Amino acid sequence: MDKLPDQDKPTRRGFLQSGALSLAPMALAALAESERPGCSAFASVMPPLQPHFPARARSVIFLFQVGGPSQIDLFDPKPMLNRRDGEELPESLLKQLTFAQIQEKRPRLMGSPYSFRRHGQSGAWVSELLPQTAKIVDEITVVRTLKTDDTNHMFAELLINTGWRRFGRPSLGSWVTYGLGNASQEMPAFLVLGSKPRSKSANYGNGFLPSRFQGTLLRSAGDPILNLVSPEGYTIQRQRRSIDTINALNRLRLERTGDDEIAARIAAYEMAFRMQSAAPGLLDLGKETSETLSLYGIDDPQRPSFARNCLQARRLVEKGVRFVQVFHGDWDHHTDIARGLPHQCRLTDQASSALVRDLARRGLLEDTLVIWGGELGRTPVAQKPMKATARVGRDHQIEAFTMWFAGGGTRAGQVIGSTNDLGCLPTSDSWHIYDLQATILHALGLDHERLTYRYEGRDFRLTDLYGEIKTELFERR
Amino acid sequence: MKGTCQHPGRRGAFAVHKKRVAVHTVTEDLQSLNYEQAAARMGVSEDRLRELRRERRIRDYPGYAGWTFRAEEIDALAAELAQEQAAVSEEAAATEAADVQTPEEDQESDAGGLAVDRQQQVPDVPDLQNEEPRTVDDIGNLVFSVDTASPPVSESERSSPAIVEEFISKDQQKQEKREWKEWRRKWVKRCPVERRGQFGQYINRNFRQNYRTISGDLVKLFESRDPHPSQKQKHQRVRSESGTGCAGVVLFLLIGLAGLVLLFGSQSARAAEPSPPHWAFRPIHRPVVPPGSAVHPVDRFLDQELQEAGLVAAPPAPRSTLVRRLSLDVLGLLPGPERVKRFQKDERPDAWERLVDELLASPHFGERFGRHWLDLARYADSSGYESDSPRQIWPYRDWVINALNDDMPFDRFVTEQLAGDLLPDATVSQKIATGFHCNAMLDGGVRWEAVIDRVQTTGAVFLGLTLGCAQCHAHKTDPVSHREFYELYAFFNESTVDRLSLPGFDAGYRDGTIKAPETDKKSATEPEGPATLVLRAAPQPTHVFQQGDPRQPGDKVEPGFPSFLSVGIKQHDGSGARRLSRLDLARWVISDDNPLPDRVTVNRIWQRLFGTGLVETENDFGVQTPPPTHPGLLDFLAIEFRRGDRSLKRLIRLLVTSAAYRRSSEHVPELQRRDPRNRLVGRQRRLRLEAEIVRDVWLSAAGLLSSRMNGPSVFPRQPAGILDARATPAKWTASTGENLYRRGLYTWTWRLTPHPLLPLFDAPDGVTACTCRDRSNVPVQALTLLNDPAFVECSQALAMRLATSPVAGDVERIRQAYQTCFSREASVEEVRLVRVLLDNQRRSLETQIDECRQLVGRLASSPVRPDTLVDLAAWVVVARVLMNLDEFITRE
Repeated sequence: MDKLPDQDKPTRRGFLQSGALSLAPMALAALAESERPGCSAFASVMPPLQPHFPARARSVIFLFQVGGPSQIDLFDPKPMLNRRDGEELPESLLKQLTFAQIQEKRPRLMGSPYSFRRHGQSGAWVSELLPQTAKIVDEITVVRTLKTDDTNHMFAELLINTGWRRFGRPSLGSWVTYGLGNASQEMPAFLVLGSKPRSKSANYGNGFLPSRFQGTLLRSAGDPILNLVSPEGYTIQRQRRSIDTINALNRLRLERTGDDEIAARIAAYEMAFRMQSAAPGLLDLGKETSETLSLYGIDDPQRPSFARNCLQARRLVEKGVRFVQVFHGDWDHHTDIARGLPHQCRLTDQASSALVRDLARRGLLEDTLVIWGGELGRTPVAQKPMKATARVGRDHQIEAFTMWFAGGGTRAGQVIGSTNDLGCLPTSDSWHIYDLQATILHALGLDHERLTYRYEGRDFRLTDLYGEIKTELFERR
Repeated sequence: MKGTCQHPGRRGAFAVHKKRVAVHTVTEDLQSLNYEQAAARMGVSEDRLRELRRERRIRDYPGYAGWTFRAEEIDALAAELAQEQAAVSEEAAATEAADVQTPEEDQESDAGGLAVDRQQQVPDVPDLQNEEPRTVDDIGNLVFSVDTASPPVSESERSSPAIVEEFISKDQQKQEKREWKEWRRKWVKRCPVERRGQFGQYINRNFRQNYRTISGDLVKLFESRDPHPSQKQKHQRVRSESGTGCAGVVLFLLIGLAGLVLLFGSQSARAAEPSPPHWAFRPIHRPVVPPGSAVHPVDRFLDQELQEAGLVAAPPAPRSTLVRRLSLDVLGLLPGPERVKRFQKDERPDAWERLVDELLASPHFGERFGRHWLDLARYADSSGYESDSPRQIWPYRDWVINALNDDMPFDRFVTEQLAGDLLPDATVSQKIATGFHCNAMLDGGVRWEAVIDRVQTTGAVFLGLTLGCAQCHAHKTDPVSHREFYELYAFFNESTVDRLSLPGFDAGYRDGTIKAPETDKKSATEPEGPATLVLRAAPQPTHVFQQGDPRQPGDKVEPGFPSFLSVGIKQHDGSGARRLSRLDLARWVISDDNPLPDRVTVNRIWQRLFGTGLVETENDFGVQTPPPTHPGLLDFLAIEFRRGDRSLKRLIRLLVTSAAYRRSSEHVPELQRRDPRNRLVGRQRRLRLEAEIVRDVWLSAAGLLSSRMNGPSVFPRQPAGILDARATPAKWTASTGENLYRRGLYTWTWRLTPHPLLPLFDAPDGVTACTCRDRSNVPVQALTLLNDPAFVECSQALAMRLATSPVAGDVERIRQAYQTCFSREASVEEVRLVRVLLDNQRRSLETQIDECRQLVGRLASSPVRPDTLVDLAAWVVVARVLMNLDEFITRE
């Protein structure tokens, strides 16, 4: 973060010197070394920050498909694969592929039983399993050549969400929050919905960034947030007064200990107060019209579902929430893909497309980047069942898999990238995960090379030393 | 939780869905065939089978028809074909020729829109399109249909020549490979038998590419070459691998260097061996305690590294902080003002050691460290998976608490849990201990998954290794082979879970008891009364699952130990052909020849007391793990642990009596800058308390906490609707009386729908062994501590204590509140801020009697004089504020 325009950039020192709070000189010295926007330890609520350059998108909704959907059966039709169904995978290809579980010397190809059609003006191929997504192909951009580095779910998840194949790094949403602050005064900037992925909270953790940048997980069943109502006898003034005293006392302790966790707790209490007034209305899907509910395919707004989370995500970005990540799984169809895949499609197809449509008709789509995809893809070769009671499935594929993007300044109606006849290797430029991350940050007006954080004596960034911005995703301007 | 393989993760959060799928497939799948099997069954070639599929002679199976043939359909088709062939010969041949479409024709007809006909054949993918007519799509007038053959080909997707050639050249390649093998065999035969292995490798390495052009006598060439080139290469490889391993971790640079010196020192000493063992697998030797001014050996090790880094350690923490820290670490309870005062006044030189001994002797020690152990044991009160049916296994939890309180030597602790039932004349208590492995999630029909879990948990908990990968293949990074995994598997495969009735056990706790759902016949017929789950030997054969597939049984295996550790247990027994049992496994695990359990255990205890282990990846001591920050210290502690009869209390005493443990956790700029992650342990750390302990300290400051130990799990109040996420019925009837206020570890845990406080503050989900909890810090936690009725009640109770306390005056009471909650004196500024709030609330409540009654809550029912009501209400507000401070739920 070297050359930001200075005028709107609150810094720790700025806060200290402004005299807004009186601080012991020790704390000042302790905190002077790290001077970053968005890190003002004493600001109880994160202010919004200016991006590096004019942003295309204001918010991101990442519909994260945990486990790795089968691109071969959904977005990337392969006639040759179908013709060669049951034959051995050519040896030259075998050498270039890494599987997670397949151990056979010569795994066999498995065609897709689903029919593909071209749709819309763009003529993008979509399988019959996603009839609703097929209807929005002109609103989305399909990218078929995503590439990751690890066949292991946990590490592939960590790579895509934190840019590192081990635990301990900040997540994408945390970096975004760190770079842009919070535009919402009522909700945390980074919210997480849905089931936990395999590497759990590390996927939305703050890593070495201060802990106020971590994602907040909303409950998927029942009330998304419990205890939003003050106890009896606590009027809004009394609650405010209490929290003021809590924060003032916490601040004294922060000065003494210099522990950033206290700063995070102060921010958490401040945010908790604001959420109490905003969140009940915000999270109550009962306020949505029945037309909207049926658009998403929600019968019962109380029942946990991917659809409910999609609608929730729209309501959140409407209120200025910066980064919403919806985890949905499991697409890890090593076995019985014939049953599992259509099942997952049924759970997600309508809601994903409804989200795009709903955002579009509310004028939110141009400011909101929607991403649909998982941490890896699936092989064109069959994986023999691992379990006595299961059927055939597909193993992990990391060389080429599909994601789609909508809104946020992307050029809609494109299909980017192609794969070979068997769908296992890219035949055009790969989008490595680092490229994906650089591109997402770019959409938000952040330069992935300048969004850095000094830790252990060196500057870290989400994309490590890599990352190429894929400008073809965006409208020219 | 931080495993390094995908398998453990496949369970847990997604277990629900997975189970649902499995239910439907059990019966059908037993008859499903793959390509090879189906072709063989029909007696046709696989090509012919593919053809038949394209002809749609195999129809009524949804999805991936080519890959899962139903046996009965295959049989029917075979019969049909035979009939056809027999009935008509020439005529049939003619019709068939017309019927069979080439793939290309097939595509054309698809593109031409023949799909309407196919509608009749749509297999069951029904719910996808039921909202719209299937024939017309609203965008491109295109038709959805299911085409089990080829989808249409677009311009951009015409076959690339490369791949077509690949298919064609496949045969050629096979031919070439045959030739090479033949050539190789010919030459290997000419080599003397004892050298053949090396010779084979030699020609593989040198002549695979150009063997056709080779002439001359290869054997002679081989004999005359440099005698040990391969050895050299190996050494170089090891060197560079270790190098990159260390270089990646910037912070470990200093220590890493030391580690490398050590590594290569020992390596050059044993140049004959191909590669030195990984640091964690080496025998533990007592390291020399470094020289230094410190008295305590632990400090000597730490000081050495700090000095080398040119850092000065943080000063000692004040006594008030120390007593609270120790009490929270060792008991998970606030120390209480009296204990703090006593310690502060204790002038004796061994005052700290006396305090340590006093706390270690408390029965609450077993509850605190017991809960740590239950994290590893993945303890819960239900079975997990979708059904998540209740199980009675609390006697195991109590066994853990009691064993830790009795300071049972760790080797016995381990042995009884792995194989208590197999000990000679096993006692009831020893049988209960085997509940450790009965904690595995278990659902009808998937027993082998629980067995796999037992192997993995054994690896993670006792060996610090992730064994999960070896289930399907040789472990990619750790030295446990596929076969060895199943040899370990065999130990647990030969056991079954039994229900053990415990008639003598305390049956006094009956409230809140779960009634098993009526649908679950097995549970419903269970007799009432205390019982637990135990392991029992149940011999049965074990086979390797080829590629992890239980349907593909491979070689039969006997129970056995992985060979990467040269543990001499087999020799010890010396009984030759005797079958190994779980008891042998337990002895192998905890043998003095096995360095792992001691290293792993002392590292874990260190982690509990300092926040992070000396080995940061506390669950993975595998070959990819960087060496510990203080390798000497780790081994010193492991040796000390062994020397002291593996007494955990003694180990903890050793650690907490160090100066390092007693350091301040306050900010030191230089340490923060140079060592932000505190890997050199120059200071202590502020750690947020665990979920259960957060509640315990609230209850404890309120004076509500029940000190009652053991017994069936209890049901504190929880918000309505928590159980709604379940597919199977369950009850949560709040307990009564003191059971509402028992310590957190006695709370009933439904794996699927735990009490919301537990996940909110990062308690483990009980799916797999959890070796390290997260410590998140988010606004929803603030909402719960502020507004949850259970916490509000605690603030009311604390206010009552303060308002009715014998000490007089607001300031004195505020100071008393600080002593109760934070075990320290309030600063002047703190007293001032709290007084301002107190006075402000008194004023604002003066005329608001209703609000006062609400604030005071259930206390209002006890006789409160109107003039004291306002005062009490104001104190409630103050108490709630103090209890919401960061410091209250933090061990400093």
